[in-house]
Amino acid sequence: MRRVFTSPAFPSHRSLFLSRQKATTSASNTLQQHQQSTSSIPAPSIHRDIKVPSISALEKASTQSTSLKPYVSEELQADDYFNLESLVNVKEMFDARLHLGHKIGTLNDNMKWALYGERLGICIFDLDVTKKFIVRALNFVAHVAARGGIILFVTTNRESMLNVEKTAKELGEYSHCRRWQEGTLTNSAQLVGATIRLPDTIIFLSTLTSLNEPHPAIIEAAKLTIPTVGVVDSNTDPAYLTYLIPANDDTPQSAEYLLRLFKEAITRGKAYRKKQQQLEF
Amino acid sequence: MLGRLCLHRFLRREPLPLRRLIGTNSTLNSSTETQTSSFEDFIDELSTKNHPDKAGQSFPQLLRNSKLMQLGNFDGCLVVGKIVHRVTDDLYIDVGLKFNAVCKAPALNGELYTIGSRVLLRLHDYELSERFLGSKKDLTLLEADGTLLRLLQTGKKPQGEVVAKKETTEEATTI
Repeated sequence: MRRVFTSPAFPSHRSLFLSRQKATTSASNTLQQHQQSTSSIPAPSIHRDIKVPSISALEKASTQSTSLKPYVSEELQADDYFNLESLVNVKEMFDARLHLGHKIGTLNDNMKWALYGERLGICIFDLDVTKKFIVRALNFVAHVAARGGIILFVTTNRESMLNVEKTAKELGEYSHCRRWQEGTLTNSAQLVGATIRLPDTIIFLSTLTSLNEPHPAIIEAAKLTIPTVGVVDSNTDPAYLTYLIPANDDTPQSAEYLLRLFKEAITRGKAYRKKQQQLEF
Repeated sequence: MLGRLCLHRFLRREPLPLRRLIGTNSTLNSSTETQTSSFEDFIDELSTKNHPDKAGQSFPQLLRNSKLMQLGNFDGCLVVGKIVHRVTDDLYIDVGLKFNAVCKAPALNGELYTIGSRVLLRLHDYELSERFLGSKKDLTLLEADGTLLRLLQTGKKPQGEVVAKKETTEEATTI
């Protein structure tokens, strides 16, 4: 499901959602109304001319969402706006043991595309494929941070858990590395007591729980259309994750390397946001 | 300067080395035998889509030259590991693979096996995973299998006790 952001930083992840369902007149009306209401909120691209797509353009976009690209902000036009490809290095990934997978007997059939091959029963990830996916995920996370989105880090790997919590705290973002209560996202209003703002992105440093079952947060995020970034190992199911990173998730060294990359990406996104906000005042 | 050198070699009718062949992109007046072999090498170089990273080596090269490939069959290999965690008697040893090997500290001088110590290990398995009856996938224990042989270098000095001597072993490999 593609999500197209046409206007300045949206306050909630659910409000400016242009779905693939047919765009009707009411949709474009609410869009214009919302733009008028959000003009008071400081946003990154308030100086630029905001092009509003016509009703016919929106209707055409219901079948081909990429036709709305000219209406999208300038920073979203480039593939690698924050130049995060320069951060990712195959040699460093190799030293961080990102290429090591589980044994062939535990291989999930939906992960075969990411493997370079099998060596004496051990699945080896193709780091060139991994690099491509890492850069894509990092850019997405940077853009989310640039728009003031909330990022939640999730992991159940006991060895990298503390490192994840530390990194999230340093970034000013959130982490959940303990036991996941069912309904944390879907039933948040009841568990917390009031309606709260849910995370705009969830980054899974490991998608399996300690019982080697898929983490319940993946399904909950999918139900709420929260985009997810997930590090998928050779034994995990890549389903319901938006951005995949096919790499080793069990070794603390690999988790540390990926956290370093995420930290840099989010820092760059936030620096961009701060710069844009300063330009307005 | 390179161009002048190439021209000089061309005039002398010597076959240019492979690297300069790629650089000049010109036909050579050399013997057909050397030309076809260097041409084949040239095509091989072009066809490998895995171009090297800025660091130098491409992923297939890194993998091929790695210790993982050198080891071959893990069963019986001697490796040097580092203790990363200790829970009373259990030592979690990092050998450079995906998982840590979990071994019991020996009864004699067990207290010398502290976090940060280097130990000699005989590796048996990369990952303890087995297919159990009735299941489609293997069940994994998320740890490597190995036998602790001896301590090479203790992590920190225990208070007032003699530190174990550092031993070097030629057959041991550090991944």
